[in-house]
Amino acid sequence: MFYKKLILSIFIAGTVKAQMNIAGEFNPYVMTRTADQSQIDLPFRLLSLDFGFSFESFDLKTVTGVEQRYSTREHSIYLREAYVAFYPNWGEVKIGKQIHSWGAADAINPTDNINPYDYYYMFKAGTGKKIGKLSLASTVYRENFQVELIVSPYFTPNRIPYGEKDFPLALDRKPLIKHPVKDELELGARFQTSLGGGDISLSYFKGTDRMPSVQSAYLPITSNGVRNFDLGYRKTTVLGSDFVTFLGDFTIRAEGALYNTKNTSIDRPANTSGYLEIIQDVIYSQYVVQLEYTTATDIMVSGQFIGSKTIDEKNQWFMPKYPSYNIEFPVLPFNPGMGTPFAMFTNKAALISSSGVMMDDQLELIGSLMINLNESGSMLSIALGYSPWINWKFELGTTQFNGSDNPLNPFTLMQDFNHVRMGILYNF
Amino acid sequence: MTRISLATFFICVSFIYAQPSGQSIILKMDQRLKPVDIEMDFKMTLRSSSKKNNRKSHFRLMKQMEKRYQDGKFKSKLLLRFIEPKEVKGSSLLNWDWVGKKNDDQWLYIPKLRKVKRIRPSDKSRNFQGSEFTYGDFMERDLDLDSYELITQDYFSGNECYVVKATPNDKSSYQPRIFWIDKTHYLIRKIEFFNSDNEKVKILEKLDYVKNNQYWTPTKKIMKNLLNGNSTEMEVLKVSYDQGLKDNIFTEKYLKRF
Repeated sequence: MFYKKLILSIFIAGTVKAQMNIAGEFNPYVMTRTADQSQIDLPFRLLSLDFGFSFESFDLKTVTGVEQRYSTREHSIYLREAYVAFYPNWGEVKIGKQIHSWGAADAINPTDNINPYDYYYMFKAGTGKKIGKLSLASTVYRENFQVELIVSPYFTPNRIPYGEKDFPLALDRKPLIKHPVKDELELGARFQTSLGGGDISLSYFKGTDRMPSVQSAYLPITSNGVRNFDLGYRKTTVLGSDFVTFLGDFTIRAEGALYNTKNTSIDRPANTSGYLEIIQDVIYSQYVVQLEYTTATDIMVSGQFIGSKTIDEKNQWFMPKYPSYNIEFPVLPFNPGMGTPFAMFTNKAALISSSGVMMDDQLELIGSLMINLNESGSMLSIALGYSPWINWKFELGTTQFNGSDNPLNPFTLMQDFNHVRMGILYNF
Repeated sequence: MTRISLATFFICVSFIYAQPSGQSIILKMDQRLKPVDIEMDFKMTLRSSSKKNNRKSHFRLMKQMEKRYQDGKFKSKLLLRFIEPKEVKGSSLLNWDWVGKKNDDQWLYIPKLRKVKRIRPSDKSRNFQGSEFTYGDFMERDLDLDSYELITQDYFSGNECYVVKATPNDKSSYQPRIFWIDKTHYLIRKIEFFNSDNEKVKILEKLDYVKNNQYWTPTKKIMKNLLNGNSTEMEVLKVSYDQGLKDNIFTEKYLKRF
């Protein structure tokens, strides 16, 4: 039905002589594991097609992705974005499936929580790693400030790889969500103003966690020692702030968010014997401070300090059948259900990045090094792009994780993902 | 009687052959009628000094929109948008030049990030997107920031020119330049750029001008870098003046719309 409406809209727009816009990229690539030169078998976005119309104060935009997997030759076509934008004098209104971007820092944005993340593309830059979300967004622009409001009626979780033997952090199987989200409405607001030659913003977001968490459990422990945990999604409120300012030749971008996550009321089973619920109320923060410098030869160097911290954690198991009982049940380690995906690797890290072009812009070099400041671990990424003809680029890159003796260290787990990536990028 | 005649003769001769000052030439050049707004499509061709790398396909297509203000808070607003190569299509730069403010406000929109980034405004001396032009070359510099001196007269590209040296009053941010300004229309034909060691580093040649209505447009400009031998040619493909570009074009909202 949605596609029919979309095609109809495109047809109507076409008949009124709107300006048609087509662009996109074709990007086949292979990833070869460094350890044994075997091919990493994960789906990848082969084609991205932007198609739309502009007519006076209206735009219709669609972004379609074609995802391919080499081993099975399976491909899927999906609409990443499809929205209508209206640009009145006072600002803009967008409605439809869309990707939003909040925050001042590069790549790691604790305040940017509107869209879920696609973990298959977690190392992609920009919007490539986000999932479009059906929403209504409106921004009012004034000379010195802007206010943005976003309402989203539907909940969309992160896309997490499961059953993927080639992705070390993948789950074995798709998690069964026992407690579906009841209240799916999500709200966001952001105010931004200029201050002393820079920009500062304040943001608020209230929504559902993007990652599931334990909501209830059954006693006793099963014969094989596995506890029967039931998953659901917590509600999280995020207060964020970001700013950008200039200090001599340096640019400082900083961003921080304070999260308050709570579990919601869930439907209880008819028989509540041995049934437990967790009362969870956790306050945690994520932040990034970025220092950026561009040399006279246009080489950009930036350093980021990334951190996350659990400030206050209340976990209490509760037995509905015997509410006055004090239940002694193990408290599970807290995992944030929202925020930047990099928080799953470490809660304190330094990221140094650099990019530059040479040979008349034909050769592009990008490098980054993430160092875990908590325990031993690093991620080195180097990418080289050579463009012999306009709109064509040959890409060669590598990502190398280096962990520790601790097998549970995410950097150690990711070592198996160390790879060399080769591809062609054609923009049209 | 003879003395009076001689004095009168010398006064007349000195009036006839008097050289205008550098300042007056620059002021006259500046008084030329300028459009309130400009919309221009141009092609930048980047050429390397190495013959091996000399390829005509290395170009950028861009759109420039500029609005100048006679009064109010702004001197000018500028929007530059990439059309080609496709990889950077839609990337746009917005510049607000304020009255009485040392630094401009600058924002960069990168479509892949879907984000408008405020960027450091004092980067006017940096090269513009790999070309030999700098960001500052797209923006007007206040006349009172430099002192001007007529140093000689010369011919360039068949035009008789005044050669005027502009020395910045504040030497920290900008280096001296020498202008070739033609005597007929007071148009800049050539600029030589110097570094802090007074070494000539770049030459800008404006080879062709076309008069559109009452405005002169340099349709072809070449910036040559004398240090690395590279050059960038800028060719105007389409230009429109005084279309009444609205203020809301020079906003973050429009920056994101392409």
